[in-house]
Amino acid sequence: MNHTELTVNIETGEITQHEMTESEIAALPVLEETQPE
Amino acid sequence: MAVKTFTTGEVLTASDTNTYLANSGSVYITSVDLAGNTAVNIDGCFTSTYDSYVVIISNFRGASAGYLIVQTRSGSPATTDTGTNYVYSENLGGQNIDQSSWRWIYAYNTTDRGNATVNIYEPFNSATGTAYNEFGQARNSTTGFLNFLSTGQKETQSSDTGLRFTHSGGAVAMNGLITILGVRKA
Repeated sequence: MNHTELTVNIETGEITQHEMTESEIAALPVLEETQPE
Repeated sequence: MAVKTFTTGEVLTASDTNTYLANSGSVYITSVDLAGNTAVNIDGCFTSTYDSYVVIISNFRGASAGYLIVQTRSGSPATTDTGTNYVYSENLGGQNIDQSSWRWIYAYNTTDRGNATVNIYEPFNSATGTAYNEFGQARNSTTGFLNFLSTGQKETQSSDTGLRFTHSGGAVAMNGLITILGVRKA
């Protein structure tokens, strides 16, 4: 499955979207899936 | 600021507009649809124009259960602060210090959605650490309901100009709408 990253710049109005690289995906913060109480 | 009640036929002057409309309430900055992206960056939403902001997260859900993960961004071009500079507490629990992100609202699945309103304080001020408090809820159609309060801040003082949203599961597509308002200063 492809994963995409969207960046919106409010000041310039620029909107970019790109397919994330393997290193970008690996760098995503992952937290334990502890369900909140 | 006072509130003026206009009467039928009264002329709306430039002065009235500047006083009672331009200086009132919260001001819309942007809405960004998460739209199935795995990561969403909103840059340039925090400026010197406002001190405080309101972020509204509606209909948040991920391809799997998990939290909305939030980090701050700054610089030009903007980069994400991935350091262990974040601290937060949830539902009046103990502090989670030295985290690499904040943890906002939870969603149980693709249809049981989470919503939250987050007040953010002085993100652009380099002399303060960006801080927030969050009020949210989520439903779980099989096990019940989640009412969610959280508060947090940056451990470091910096001028933050944007936010990055990802999912606690890592490479997980997200959906929902992020709306950001600036709180007008007198």
